[in-house]
Amino acid sequence: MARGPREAAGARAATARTTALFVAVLLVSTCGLVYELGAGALASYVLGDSVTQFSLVIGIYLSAMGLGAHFSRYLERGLARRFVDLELAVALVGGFSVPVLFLCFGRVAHFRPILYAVVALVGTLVGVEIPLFLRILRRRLDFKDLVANVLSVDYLGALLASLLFPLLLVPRLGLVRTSLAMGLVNGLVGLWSTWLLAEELPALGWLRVRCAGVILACAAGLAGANWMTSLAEEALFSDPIIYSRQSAYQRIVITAGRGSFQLFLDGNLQFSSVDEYRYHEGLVHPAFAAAARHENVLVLGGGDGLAVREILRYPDVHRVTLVDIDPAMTALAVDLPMVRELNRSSLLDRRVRLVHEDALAWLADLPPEARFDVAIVDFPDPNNFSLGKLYTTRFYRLLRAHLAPGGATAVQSTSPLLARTSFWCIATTMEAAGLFVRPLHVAVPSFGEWGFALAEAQPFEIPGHVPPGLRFLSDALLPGLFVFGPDLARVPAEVNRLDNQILVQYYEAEWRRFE
Amino acid sequence: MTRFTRRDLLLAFLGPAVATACHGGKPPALAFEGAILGANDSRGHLLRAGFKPTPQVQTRTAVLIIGGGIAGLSAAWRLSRAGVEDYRILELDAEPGGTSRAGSNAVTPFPWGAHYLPCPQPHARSVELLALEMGAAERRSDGQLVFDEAQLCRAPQERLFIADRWYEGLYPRAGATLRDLDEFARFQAEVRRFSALRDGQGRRAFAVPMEHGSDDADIVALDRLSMSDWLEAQGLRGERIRWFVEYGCRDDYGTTLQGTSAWAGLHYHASRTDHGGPEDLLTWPEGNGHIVSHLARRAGRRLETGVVVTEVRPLERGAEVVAFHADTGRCERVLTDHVVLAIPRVAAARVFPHPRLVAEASGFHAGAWLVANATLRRRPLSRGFPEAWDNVLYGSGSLGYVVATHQSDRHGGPPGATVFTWYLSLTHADPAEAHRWLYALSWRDAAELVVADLRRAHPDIESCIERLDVWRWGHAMIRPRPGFVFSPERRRASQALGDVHFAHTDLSALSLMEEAQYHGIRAGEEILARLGRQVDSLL
Ligand SMILES: Cc1cc2nc3c(=O)[nH]c(=O)nc-3n(C[C@H](O)[C@H](O)[C@H](O)COP(=O)(O)OP(=O)(O)OC[C@H]3O[C@@H](n4cnc5c(N)ncnc54)[C@H](O)[C@@H]3O)c2cc1C
Repeated sequence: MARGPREAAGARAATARTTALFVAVLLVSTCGLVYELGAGALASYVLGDSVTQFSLVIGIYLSAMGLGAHFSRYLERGLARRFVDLELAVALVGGFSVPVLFLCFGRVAHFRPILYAVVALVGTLVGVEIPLFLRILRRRLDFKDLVANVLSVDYLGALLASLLFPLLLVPRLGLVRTSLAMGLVNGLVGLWSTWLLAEELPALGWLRVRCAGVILACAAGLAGANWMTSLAEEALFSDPIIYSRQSAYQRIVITAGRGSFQLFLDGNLQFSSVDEYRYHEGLVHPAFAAAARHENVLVLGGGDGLAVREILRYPDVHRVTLVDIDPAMTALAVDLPMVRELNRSSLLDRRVRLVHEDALAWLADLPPEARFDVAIVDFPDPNNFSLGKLYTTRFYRLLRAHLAPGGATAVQSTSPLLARTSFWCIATTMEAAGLFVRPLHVAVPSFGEWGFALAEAQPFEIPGHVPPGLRFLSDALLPGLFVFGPDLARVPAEVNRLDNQILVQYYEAEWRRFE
Repeated sequence: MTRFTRRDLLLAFLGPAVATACHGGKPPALAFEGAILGANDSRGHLLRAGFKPTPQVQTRTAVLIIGGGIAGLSAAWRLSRAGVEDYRILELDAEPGGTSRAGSNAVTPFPWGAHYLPCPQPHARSVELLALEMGAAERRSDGQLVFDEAQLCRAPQERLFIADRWYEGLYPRAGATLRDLDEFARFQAEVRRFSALRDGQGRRAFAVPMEHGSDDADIVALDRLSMSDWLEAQGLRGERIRWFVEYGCRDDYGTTLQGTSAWAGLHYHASRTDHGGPEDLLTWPEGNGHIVSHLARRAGRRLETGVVVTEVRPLERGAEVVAFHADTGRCERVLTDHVVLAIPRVAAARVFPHPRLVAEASGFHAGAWLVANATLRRRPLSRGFPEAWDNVLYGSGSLGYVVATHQSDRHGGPPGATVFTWYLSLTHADPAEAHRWLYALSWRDAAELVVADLRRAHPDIESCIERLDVWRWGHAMIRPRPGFVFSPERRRASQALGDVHFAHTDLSALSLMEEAQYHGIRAGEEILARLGRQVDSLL
């Protein structure tokens, strides 16, 4: 029996639609696997220990998929509509899974349960997709062929995902945008299927409006991801960015990887949680050992609260005044659980008073009789003119004027190895301001060889005792920190003044060699 | 001429480079407010219109100083230092300071005119004394003067916008050819030579105050050339060197290479140091308004503002002065033994129409200036070398802008807020025409000029501006045109007529704080001498 042209056209349309449906399966399964890979990558970035994290995430995801497949049987009527709804749900939950996890990390105390819950939720939803699809197509195709075809397309999707994810998506988009882009794909598949499955769908208009809403949400998320981190910025750091914010003064970025995290201000590393204790012990304790008293302590800069953590070890500290220009920085030290854990809630101690002002302006306006027993000066390196002014004779003269008799100060002074002239320029400048300086250096692996300038307003001896129980410093180690080998030894440098800012020039020239 | 088309406006005031860059671009929406200040223009106009009120009361004072600018205030300062306290200063404006006045808002104080004082050389005794008195310097035990780090201009001092980014310093090195660089080096060598030169009497070729400089024939002869001729004679013809040298003429004298005497053009570069290098300078957020406040504080209540002097009539001994109190409408006749006329030369001839003054005043050409203070809520985008104190745009008719908060540790408003003080000198050859142009500008025109000029370097400048105010300076800056500096009129101008003494920066043919102070002190010392005081001159 010859088929009429109409019938032939109808059959062609039916095959075209079936092919389209298989393309949809391919897309859906690709997305599903990308969510899984994304969650796994994120978990290993922020929690470290990638083998455990990856296998945990995969395990949870796979079993959640099984659960989803199981649940699919309870869906009975209106399968096509359910499918569209399911796509929208996957688009939202899957698409926003990684950004939500990034935002949670560092903000909530217990990250793991949230991570696993999100993974389970996405897995469950994705698990419903294929069985539901099979049931929708059952009416159109021979069941044996159907299962074989859908499954092979599904595996093809997995292959596609595992190739795209490391080669294209993460390098081009970063984790956050990858996940949102997949959400967008799921949303588009949802919308597309309102045409593919039109015959089985009631109230098409309303459904399409919902699809459009979800697509818009994912697109907005993608646009908003720029607000969280910029692509260019992500390329700057070796580890993924988990917190990024432009405050009124600087860009604050936290990256995490291999079980530790790092704080960057305007792209410059401030500390790494692995070895910051070496830096902060070296900055704080020699000054405390040199100072005659410890009652009234000043911290300039150091809004991360880590120096204050060391300061609060001393029971005879009555009062700590911390002056940091950026309220966003001290807020982060108090509000981000990961940072607060590291500084042991030091900024919440009732002995600590926070001042948000420019340190130079604050010092200049201090009543002349104000005196501090110890002053810890912890500014970012002098890589621009606004920071450079905090290393001038003007600044150190003011600082000296507010040291109590027998008082001591310690100034972070960049690396005597990598920026030798800069380091000695700081010491020379402090001397020009009438301070007696004893420079010291410590090894901080994530920074390199690092230097501080310990100083008093009168000549003084190298101190001999630090409190017991420190992780890095001990009495035996202490004298060695003040010894400078030939490659660190003093070099002549000009005095850094407000009207020459010579230090910024030294610093630029010296660090440029390492860029 | 009442309205400018946008293109005419940009072309006329900022030159072809800016006009072309903005051509076709949309005119700015100007989503900020502001005003043309300098309302007291009208008081000056009263005088020019020949306003002659009749005095109702008569008073007496030993010394009457007319004009509360740097010159008048310095005359008072000199008298006070000698213990003569019986003087009054009458200033037409509501605020003292004249062309060194300052303004202030919630963010920062800012200048309206003069904004810096180069660190004095040891021969400028009176400037040194003032710096010591203001706490801007200290004398070390070895006699050396050390300047306060906080008041010296902080680094970075200058940057230049050229092509598409900022570079450090003022000379346009970026993209310069070897020939350009060679011309620059040759110019600097000449400047160094003049800086180191001493005449038979041990005087510098060029000094500040200028009276300390040489009057040897070969130096004086430079005055007969224009700066343009001098460059030509040196074979310095490149666009960049000419721009660089003309920038100095526009900045210090409000005039062009052709309009500046070579003596004055070289004076700018070779008077401040022995090495010909850039000098250190003192500056404050409010510019030289800082000096004005210091001097005004010393004068105390003897400084009266809002008082217009309309007539000075010499008597057999002393003089009779008519002063109109603008706020109350009261008109006063002041009988005084000595007068210091510390106002621009042209204005002096109007209130004191002595035949010599009237005959010679027309030689004192003063240029017009437009100054805008833009209050910014945040810093604009900027590419290249970071913000400096003085920020200059290559190829623009403007002089760029100075950042008021550069010198302060603290400012009001949100982080990043500041005030940019933008300067434009109308270098038009005919001063009367420049003056007409200036007064044809509306606030909108002026704001458009500022935005168009800065937008090349800061694409988002418009959205950063919170408020923009404008000051028009009609006859603001004496022009040292060729031949004028060593003309007999100029050299005679300082001589007293009877008991009327003269002070003002115009008398040096150079508009500088030190020259204004010099003439104020000189006038003060002339009076001290007539009072029979033995004075050790501070000059
Ligand atoms: C835009 C601009 C920028 C400048 N920048 C600098 C700079 O950076 N450094 C520098 O050294 N110099 C600068 N100058 C030069 C400046 O003019 C001098 O430094 C100095 O302020 C001149 O002071 P003066 O007292 O001689 O004159 P003026 O400032 O002209 O003072 C004269 C005073 O007399 C008053 N007056 C006039 N007529 C009468 C009257 N009839 N009755 C009563 N009072 C009257 C006026 O209101 C005015 O206050 C600048 C000038 C301008 C215009």
